[in-house]
Amino acid sequence: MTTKAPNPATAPSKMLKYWHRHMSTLLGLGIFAALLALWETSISLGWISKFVLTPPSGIVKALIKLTQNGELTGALFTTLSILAASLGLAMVIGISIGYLLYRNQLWGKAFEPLLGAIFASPLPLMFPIFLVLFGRTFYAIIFLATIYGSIPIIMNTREALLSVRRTLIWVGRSFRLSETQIFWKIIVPAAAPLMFSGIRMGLIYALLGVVAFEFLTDLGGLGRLLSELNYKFKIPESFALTAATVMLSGLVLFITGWIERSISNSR
Amino acid sequence: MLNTPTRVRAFALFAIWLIWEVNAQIAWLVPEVFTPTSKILVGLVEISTSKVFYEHLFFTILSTGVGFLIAVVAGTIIGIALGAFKIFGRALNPYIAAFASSPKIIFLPVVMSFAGWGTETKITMAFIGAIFPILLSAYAGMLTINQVHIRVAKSFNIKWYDLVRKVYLPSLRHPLLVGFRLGFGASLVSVVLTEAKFGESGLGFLAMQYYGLYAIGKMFSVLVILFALAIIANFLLDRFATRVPH
Repeated sequence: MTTKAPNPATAPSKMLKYWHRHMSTLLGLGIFAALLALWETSISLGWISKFVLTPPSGIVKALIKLTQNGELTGALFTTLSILAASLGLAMVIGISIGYLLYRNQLWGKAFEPLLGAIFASPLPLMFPIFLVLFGRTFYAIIFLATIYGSIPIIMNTREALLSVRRTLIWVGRSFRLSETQIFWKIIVPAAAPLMFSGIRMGLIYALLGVVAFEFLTDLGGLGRLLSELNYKFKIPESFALTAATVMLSGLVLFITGWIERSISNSR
Repeated sequence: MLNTPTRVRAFALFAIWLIWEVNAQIAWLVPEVFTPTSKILVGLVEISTSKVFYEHLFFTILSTGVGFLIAVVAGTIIGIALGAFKIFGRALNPYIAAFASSPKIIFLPVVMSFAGWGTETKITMAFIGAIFPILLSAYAGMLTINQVHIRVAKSFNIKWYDLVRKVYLPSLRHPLLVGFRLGFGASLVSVVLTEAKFGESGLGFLAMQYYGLYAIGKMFSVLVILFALAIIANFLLDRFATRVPH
């Protein structure tokens, strides 16, 4: 049995490929680390007052303190619960209405531009109306976040169902499938990636709405905690919670992006 | 009769207004919210004849306008730079996307720690609201520029500022205008929510004052004016966009 000697010409090429594939990620991490180092150094050297801008080390300490005393975990649980309720409602409403607008072409053409206009309008400015409707309760936040999240789901669901290739449906009919079977076995799987894009956008907008209205109304969750820390002039804790909220948004974006790519690749 | 999308849309809007008005007149369902249209119009007239309203309007427009204009310049420059140096664009895109998908109002305590409680905070919040849509639109537009145009320009030994002026900016006109429209709406929302939370002036502060006094008709009137501001700005930018040649 002969063993093949490693070809020195290919070894660096594999390393080069690995470097090229991950270069942008490593560069991004490097730039981020450099900015954090510059931030920390500026405050250590007294160029910027630590009472104005908390250093990254102070943010990490504050984050640990908030986690240990249970404030962060409690607030995160409240926000995620409200988000789950809002997204659940948004999905039920969004997919149902999206399906109705797909089935009835006239309604679809009539209401789609209207939905686009509502989505593009400054909807968050309506929050006083919901406070009057529901009082200072979590229902105000859930309802507003549901509206905010359901519009992209409606539009993407309709678009997804309309974009299914007619060829696939004709093939289903040629095998004498019933309309119900064609819908569940052909149309829904074909529409799933675009529908999930809408759900992903709905989740991001619902999270935006939940945290923003918690902050404005002081009702509960991450937003209320941030508002309370700000009122008490707890600057390091405010910075820490802002960083935690940005990380939460980034994590939601990353996880849903990964799921979306998995659904697209599995077709 | 209802056989075209336009007629269906018009009928639906009329039906919504009718349900609203009937409910408001008979005070059946949540009468505090369903204010009659006549009351909203009376509120609009009262507000628009008040000098105090124009002071608040001035502060909102000033903060939104200044923050938005700074974001236009900064967002365009950064977006073009990230698109021109693609490795940096790919490297920083995840971080920019994470910040872009965060609710901008959470940056208010951070901004207040160095900008205080005044107009500077509102301008900064308007900037933060507007920069991400503009930056991301400029970056996305840069990725779609025909590379042949760039190679031909470089083959004439073009200077970098001429490349930006004669190749990048003309190619980016439509993506940038989309970004500007989204950015203006975002900056107006950021300013009004800042005024509503911590303001001492501006239309957001005025709306919350009326809410606190339970003057729902006047509160609705302020919200109608805010929506009208957003619609007018969008309309003007849209008209500008249609005049820009492809």
